[in-house]
Amino acid sequence: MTSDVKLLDINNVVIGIERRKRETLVLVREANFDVNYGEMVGIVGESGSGKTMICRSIIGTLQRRGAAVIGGEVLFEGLDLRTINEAKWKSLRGKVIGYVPQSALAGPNPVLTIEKQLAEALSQVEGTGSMKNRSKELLDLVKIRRVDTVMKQYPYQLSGGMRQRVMIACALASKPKLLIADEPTTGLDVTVQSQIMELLREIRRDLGTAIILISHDLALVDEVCDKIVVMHAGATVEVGPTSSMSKPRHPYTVALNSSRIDVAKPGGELLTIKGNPPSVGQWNPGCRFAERCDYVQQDCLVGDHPALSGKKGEHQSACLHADKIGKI
Amino acid sequence: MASSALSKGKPTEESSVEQKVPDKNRIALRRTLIGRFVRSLIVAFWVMFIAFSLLRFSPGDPIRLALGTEATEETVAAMKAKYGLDQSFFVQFYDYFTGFFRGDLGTSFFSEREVTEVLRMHLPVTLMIILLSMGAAVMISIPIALSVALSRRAAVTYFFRTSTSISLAIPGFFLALLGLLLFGTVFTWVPAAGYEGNFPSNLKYLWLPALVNCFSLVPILSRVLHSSLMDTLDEEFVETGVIRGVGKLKFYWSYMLRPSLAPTVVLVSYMVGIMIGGTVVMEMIFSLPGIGRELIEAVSTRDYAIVQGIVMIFGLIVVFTSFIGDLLGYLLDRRVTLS
Repeated sequence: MTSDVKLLDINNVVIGIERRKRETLVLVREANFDVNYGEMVGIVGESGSGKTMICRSIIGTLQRRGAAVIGGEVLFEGLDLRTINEAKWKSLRGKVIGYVPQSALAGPNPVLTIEKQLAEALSQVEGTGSMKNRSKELLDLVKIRRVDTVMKQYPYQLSGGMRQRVMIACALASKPKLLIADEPTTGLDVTVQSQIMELLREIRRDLGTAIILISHDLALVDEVCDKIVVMHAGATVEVGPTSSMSKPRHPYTVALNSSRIDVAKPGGELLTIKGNPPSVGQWNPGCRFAERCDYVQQDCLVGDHPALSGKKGEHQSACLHADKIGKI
Repeated sequence: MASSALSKGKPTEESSVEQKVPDKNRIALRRTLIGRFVRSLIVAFWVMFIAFSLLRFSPGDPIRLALGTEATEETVAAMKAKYGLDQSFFVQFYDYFTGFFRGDLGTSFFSEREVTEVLRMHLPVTLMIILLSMGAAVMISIPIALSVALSRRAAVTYFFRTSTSISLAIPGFFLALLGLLLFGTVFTWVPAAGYEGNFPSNLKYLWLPALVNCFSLVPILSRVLHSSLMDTLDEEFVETGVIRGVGKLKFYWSYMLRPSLAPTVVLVSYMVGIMIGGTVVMEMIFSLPGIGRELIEAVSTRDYAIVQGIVMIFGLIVVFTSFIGDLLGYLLDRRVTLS
């Protein structure tokens, strides 16, 4: 693999949604990160920070909801996804790029049996052997027991964890280069969560699939990912390898870190981040985290949202005063 | 990648499960089906009982009405004995109930016609109108609801809501008269009165009433379907369908219509029940020899046998169609429970 072509390169992406009267609401701006082949990248941020929107821009389902990429580049193996037509999309999504949708409970089609859904996913790609055997192999891959029973069942007859496994199996049908898992553990109980995480980790290890894991849980991402992308109000505020992210260089990451339940002292107060994420369309000039920031300075409140410092691939922060963090 | 620990001991488990699996869902289906059917039978029995008893307990003596005021006590008594009205209530019901299974629903006091004969003559006309109206309404509603749901433009939805409201607000009898005037007298596309013939040839008498019915059915059905479709479109699994790249037709059917149709199907089955009573207006206006007209006539003359026969058949049809509707809803979407 040549090092200059990344598997995925998100460059200053702007995503907008069209509202009435031709007014465009910007949901994501200044989003920057990349994914290498076989890398596991975690995207972390509060609800509404644009995590899911970024994913949809990679999988090409923004249009369905009236949204579109209106600036920047989404490069998949050097190909700008903004410029490709529907036919080309069909050859990418569900084939080279796999997707596990946001909610485990609502992911599978409720009116089709698991067997039919696997067959749908498998029919997109060529393979050897009967559809039934290929489906069974997929279910084996995601460690579902009693494969024959599960094949005949409808999604509502399965538990949340099983449904998520089935969705992962469908996404793996084509052996994608990139698998996007949008909050794959939301609504699952803790033991199932860790099983799913373990599964994703094994898939990465055994199949060499690059994985983008979206989550609002920093602790979870911390555990399994090689690289962490922190998003706030539609912007990437910090990117870095997991190892160096333990010394965060953006106050938002600091705040996320300190609001983790697992670092709270027993009996102590649970820390939260003050204020709410700014609403879409009501972004102030300057840094969009300024209002909630403990380190805020005069120059944070003017101009554009600060750009990420440094080079891609390094530990980058979008804070003007990154050097002061941890020293106050 | 399937770990070897998992696949240990699998063959035996698999082979034993393999045989049982297909049966499991089917057994559950069969059990619920039988349960629903038995329940429908019980409801049907109560329908019969109520149809029978309502008239017995309503005031007025049909025999005296039929014979006129000059009838002597003897003739009245003889007539009562002839029709079994001198028996106790439960004996009468027992006779009626057992008669039903012999295909005997009694005889009219006035015209001496067999009730089964009346039903055989007039019921098909009414059922034909209902089937025609419902069939057309469903075929029109589905594409309308689907295209409105798929169009993301607010103006289309607005136009849809307004036009369905207007269509629903126009009274059926008014539209019927208007239609008769326009197609019956101005264009003469439809016979202004009368009815004859069997299936294909009688359509020329029936298409206009069916069309008029559609003006109230299509708005209701398409709006219910539209709102279910909008709910479905918000669901995550629709995205899954896009990503799997399923074909257009399959996408419309498996990912949009099928998960949305259950409420509409159940509604259709109930609407058939409502229409059975409602077509009487159409039958009057278009002078069609339907069962509704017979019922009105029979009620005004207190013709026990005919009234209870027709009411019971109406009831049975309602029970039957709602059974079919629930079943179809379940087959389309297994999340619908058939308790």
